[in-house]
Amino acid sequence: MTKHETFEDRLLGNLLDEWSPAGPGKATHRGRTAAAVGGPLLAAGVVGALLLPSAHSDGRGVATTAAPAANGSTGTVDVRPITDRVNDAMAKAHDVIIHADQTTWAHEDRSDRGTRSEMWSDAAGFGFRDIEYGADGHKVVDAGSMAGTEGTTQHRSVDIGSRTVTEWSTPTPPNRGGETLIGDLRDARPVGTETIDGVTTTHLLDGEPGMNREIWVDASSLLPVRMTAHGTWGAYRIDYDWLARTDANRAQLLPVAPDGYRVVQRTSVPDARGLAEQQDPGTK
Amino acid sequence: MPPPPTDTQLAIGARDDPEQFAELYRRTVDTIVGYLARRCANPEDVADITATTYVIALESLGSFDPERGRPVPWLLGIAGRVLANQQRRTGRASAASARLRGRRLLDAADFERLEDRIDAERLAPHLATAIEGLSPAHREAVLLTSADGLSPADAARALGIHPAAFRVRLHRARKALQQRLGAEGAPTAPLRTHNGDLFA
Repeated sequence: MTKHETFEDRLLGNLLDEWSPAGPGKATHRGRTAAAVGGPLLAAGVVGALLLPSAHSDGRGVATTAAPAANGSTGTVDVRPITDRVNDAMAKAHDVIIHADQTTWAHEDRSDRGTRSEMWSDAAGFGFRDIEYGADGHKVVDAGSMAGTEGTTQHRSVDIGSRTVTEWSTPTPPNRGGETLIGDLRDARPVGTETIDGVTTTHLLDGEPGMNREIWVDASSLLPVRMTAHGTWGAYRIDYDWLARTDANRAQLLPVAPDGYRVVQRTSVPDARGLAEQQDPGTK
Repeated sequence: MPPPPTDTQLAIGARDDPEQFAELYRRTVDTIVGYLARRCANPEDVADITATTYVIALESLGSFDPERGRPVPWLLGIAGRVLANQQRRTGRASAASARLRGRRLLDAADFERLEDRIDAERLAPHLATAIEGLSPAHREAVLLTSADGLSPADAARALGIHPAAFRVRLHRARKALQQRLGAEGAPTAPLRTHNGDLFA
């Protein structure tokens, strides 16, 4: 009996039609044009690749189609849906350190105390910091990584329990981009204008099912200032800061060793067990 | 008889040998389709994003770096970014999506099979609701390490973040998920997906 040819089989056939030798450094999806290689599949792939963080970009994935500035500074009126304009504004916010301060509640009515966490992310490079607070408001976890200028990334993890700070460095991985700390909006619609901490914002309702998600975006930059969501699962609120990528703000990506903590330098990279092992420098 | 090549050896060999690319594709395509079936609503999207993922992989073989991880998380990282960009383009007239149509390769049998796959990959309703309630970063951390079966290190590579940062995120995500499941009166004992414990 002949095996039924599946979509996967047909796709492989198309892919092999497009295969060409690609030694290290020779393959570059930016370096070839759709016209040069023919084939609609690859042509579209090239376009798709351009929408991804590229080998030489900051890793944020920027649409290739020109679009007016989010704040209308070009003098043109951007008539695209607000969802697209906000998503584009986030994608184009390269030179920033994003700070997110999140409180999560177990109950939808926020009747419990909630737990707080903070995150920082470097939108232009490899850098991420995560802080988790306990119920008493003290830090439980504080770990961060920041790419340096010499091709190395510095890591620092604070172990509150043992009052130890572990430091190590690794080569900076190529092509690493930042994290946005907020996913793209799905189907937002504006419902009004509000002021948050002195910033005029556009209040949006986002159509993610079951989330009751609300987002407030800076009316000028269209970058999110606050996001809330609630449901039977609980609730959360996240306040965002889009900080200039100054040295002072980049320094936020690494925790500072608190007074009285023992600093341990490690020479190896933590393995897959990650933080659990990092927090036990005595194992190395 | 020599042992079969590893996925990493295939990914390196595929730069100069289409047969090795084909073998790598055969070994990994089901994982990629499963990953997308858990995140897409219809077979057309699964087909489109699968096609785009492998086109980009094909074009990127020369830059695949085994020091940074195995091919599966590398491919999942590509698929995740394609998916995010596909969602970003939703609602726009996209010349790219008009040209790239993995869905054109679908026949009726494929369509039915992928629909079944999407249904099969769907999590139990109470679990799906709880996961949907997580922040996007937490949701992906839970799915990659449970439903997709990646190790924390591989999941970190798929997301392009450091394993330490991922481990923190995963810990927090699991805690949040347990809170949500508990709040809903659902069982808090370890829950099994089709390929592993959710709370390892």
